[in-house]
Order: sequence, then C-alpha cells, then structure tokens
Amino acid sequence: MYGLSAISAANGWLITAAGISIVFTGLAVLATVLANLEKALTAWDKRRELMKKGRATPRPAPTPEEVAAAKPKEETAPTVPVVDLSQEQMEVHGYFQWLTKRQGEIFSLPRLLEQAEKRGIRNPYTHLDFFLRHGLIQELGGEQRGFYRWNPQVKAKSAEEAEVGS
Amino acid sequence: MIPSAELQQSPFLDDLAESDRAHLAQIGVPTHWMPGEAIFTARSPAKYLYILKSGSILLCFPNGRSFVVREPGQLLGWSSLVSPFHYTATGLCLTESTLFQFPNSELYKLFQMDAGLGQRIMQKIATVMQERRPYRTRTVQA
Repeated sequence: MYGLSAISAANGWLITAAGISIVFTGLAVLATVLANLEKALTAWDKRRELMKKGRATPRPAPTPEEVAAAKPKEETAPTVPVVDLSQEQMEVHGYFQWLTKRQGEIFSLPRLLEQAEKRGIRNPYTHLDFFLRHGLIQELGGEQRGFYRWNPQVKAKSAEEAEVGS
Repeated sequence: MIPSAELQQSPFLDDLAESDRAHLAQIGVPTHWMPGEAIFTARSPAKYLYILKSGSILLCFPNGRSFVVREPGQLLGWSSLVSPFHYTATGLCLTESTLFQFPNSELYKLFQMDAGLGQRIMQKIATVMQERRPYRTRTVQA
C-alpha cells in the first residue's frame, strides 16, 4: 500500500491534524504569555501593595454623616506634588529605583549612572537630570552632602494614567 | 573667540572691567557636549577652565559624592589654575551643554600681563573651592 491510501490506513490525516493543532495551540499560548509578560512582571513588582490591598478588611459603606464629616478633611489634606512622566521616563524611573535599592536608601549618582550604563538603560543622563530638576531625587545635607535619596514628598505618575484619569 | 557680551552674563565675571572680559573672550572658545560625555576626568591633568553657558553638568567626585551645575555662568575646572593642576572631579554632561573653554596656559599669559586680573580671578576661584569643599570630603556614606 502506497500514497494517500497508506496515509489514510495509518490514521495519517488525524495525526497531521493533531500535530497542527498542538503546534498552533503552543504558539498561541506562547504569544499570549509574551503579550502579558510585561503586565505580569509589573504585578510581581507591586505584589506587596497588591497583597496589602487584598488583606484589607472590607469596610461597611459610609453613612451620609460620615461622608459629610470626611469632606472637610479632604480639602485641608496637604497635596503631594505629582510629576507626570512619559512611558519611557516611567520605565527608567522604575529601573533607577531598582538600581538604587541595591545601594540602600541613600545613594550615589555616579554609581547609579555607571550601573545604568552597564545595563543599557536608554538616556540615563537626560532622565537623571529630569528627575533631579523635578525633585523626584533630592540631595541630602550635612555630612551626607553630595549623596541623594528618592524624595518621599514627590510622587511620579504616568502621564498616560493621568490622561485616562482625567 | 567668544562675544564679550556673553561673558557679562556670567555671575563669575560680571564685576570685571569690560576690558578684562574682552581679554578673556579672546582666549575662550565655545565647546558643545552631548549627554554622557565626560568634559574632564578626576585626577587627569587640568588644562582648561570652563564657564557653563547652557545645559547640566554632574560633577562626580571619586568619593561617590556629586552635584549638578546648571546655572549659566558657573565655573568648572578651577583645578586648571591651582596646583597640582589635576581635576578633583569628573564633569559628566547630563544634557546637551555648551561651555566656554579657557586654556590655562593662555590664562596665565593674561595674568602675567595683568596681575590685578589674575588676583581677582584667583579670589573668585578661592570662593568656589570653599563652596565645593564638602564634596571633596573623603567620608563615604553610600
């Protein structure tokens, strides 16, 4: 027996279809994983915040009196300066925070730039200047003059998020 | 050569006589730098004095300390006029920058002809050295 009849007799068509399906499914799964990898890694980076949110016990809905009492507080609460960052700046901001974590709370800018260069971060110099000018990174005083830390008083926010929010 | 009027905008030179600024303008050249470029390196022979025209420069000291110079007219490379004539920091360009560059050999020639100008410049340099002294402290915290 030869040719197509041999293929049919040995369940060749079924095996071919099964093979195609397996390969197609595998590629589809791989594409889905790659497409969502960035989101998954971002979620992994923020896992502590997410777990805190998850653990928080749900509060009962506030009564109209509580809502009325809360409103004046919101008006008097000090506003934290927020710096809108582009997607690239947001990315570099994340990288810089990761790199400075290795040095500790207080870090050295030349070391940060050196590490950023080694890891091939795009435009680290320009981004550092931006972060310094907008107060995201602040210089320490006294004996630690010339060393820096992330300014807890200034928050970074993605400009895209801000647009969506507004 | 630099237009003399441009040097007048520098707080470092604004109280000098017009003739002094004209002499300095003759020996200076504008130089352009890109982000990431090192204008000078710590411990290398200091041959040039710089005045910032525009941009941001990070002065990185070997002890890990650093600060940004971004006010136009600020001075960089005072070591070119002070023994042992080696830069004490590395000047890294953070943004596209323009600096006026003065060769120390030409500055010394100028000072030989006009001791008064030399004295005035050196007094200003002493102030800058004093301001930046905390950054040269060896204690490393980070």
